[in-house]
Amino acid sequence: MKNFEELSSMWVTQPQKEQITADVLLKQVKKGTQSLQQKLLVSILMMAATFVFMIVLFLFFLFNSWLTYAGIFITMGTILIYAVLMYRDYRLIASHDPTVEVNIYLQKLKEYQKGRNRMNGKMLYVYSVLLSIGLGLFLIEILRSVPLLVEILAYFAFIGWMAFVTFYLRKKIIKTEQEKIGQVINRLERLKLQFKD
Amino acid sequence: MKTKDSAFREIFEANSKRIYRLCYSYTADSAAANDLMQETFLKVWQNLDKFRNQSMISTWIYRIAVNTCLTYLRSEKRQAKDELTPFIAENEPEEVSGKKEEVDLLYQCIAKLEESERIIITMVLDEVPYPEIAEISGISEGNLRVKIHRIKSKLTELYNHYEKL
Repeated sequence: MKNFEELSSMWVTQPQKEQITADVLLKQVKKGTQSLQQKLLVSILMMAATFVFMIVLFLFFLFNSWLTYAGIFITMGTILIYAVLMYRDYRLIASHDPTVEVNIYLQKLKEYQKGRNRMNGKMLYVYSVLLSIGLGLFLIEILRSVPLLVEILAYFAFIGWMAFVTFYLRKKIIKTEQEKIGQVINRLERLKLQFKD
Repeated sequence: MKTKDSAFREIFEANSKRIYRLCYSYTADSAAANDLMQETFLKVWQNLDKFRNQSMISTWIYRIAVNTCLTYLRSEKRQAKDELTPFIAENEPEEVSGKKEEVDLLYQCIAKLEESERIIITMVLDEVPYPEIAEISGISEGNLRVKIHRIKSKLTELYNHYEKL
């Protein structure tokens, strides 16, 4: 039988496990910060490259149909909107401030969850529809010169891919994301109740 | 004027052991505790410019560690084990091995407490002053004293129960 004082002295005199040194950790934290920034930078650069590609198409290629130009503009607009929303999301994630009290942290998580629900709902449908219309209009003229069978196959592949992303992949991603955030919120709610006891 | 690097080094040296113990009490797994400790200090590094001395730096770091541990616990698979596992202490002198077993058992008993109890008791064991514990956990000092008394009894009971097995 041990009393609490004995447990306490056991804690204080416990053998120290070998730990990472401050210098090694410093290297890792710097690398970690850079990789986060790099990830964001890569995504933004990819969006920018697509945007530039559309501008090049618009300026240096002559298309016969106004539908193609409309397609290019719609696609460019959608990409721009997506890039802005992506940046906003990044800001939301970054604002999950671990330095605040548990209650404030919980409040921020709830706000984030609401924001994501809004984004993953109607907004994502609007995005998918706009992108489909833009690319669809663009494809009309591009595919006009290819054999009919290839044209039909290309349209099927395009529609199939957009439907797969919008109705299957999207739901799966949203479900996983909501589950994760929901679990954190549940645990924090439980903790809040425990402190109230 | 101190650079950010040297300030970080000092903070790490002064707090890493306590933070590791807190993380270990959440996970009962040394690899996971190390990961959580590193994640905590990554956040410390990222937010160091935000720290404005409104509270003690150790209070601030504890708060980051607690939030990091709670976020980590979101995955059911990652929760501390329900069953107390037998300890393996091969090739160690009997005295060292015995002490290690005792400490391991203590950690596993802490891991069986509620989250709020784990936060509080690891700070009590690390001799963090009561006003600081109250600030980190966000409860009044009076309420805290009652809670600490209850947690101490619960932990001692748990320890003695499993020690007999």
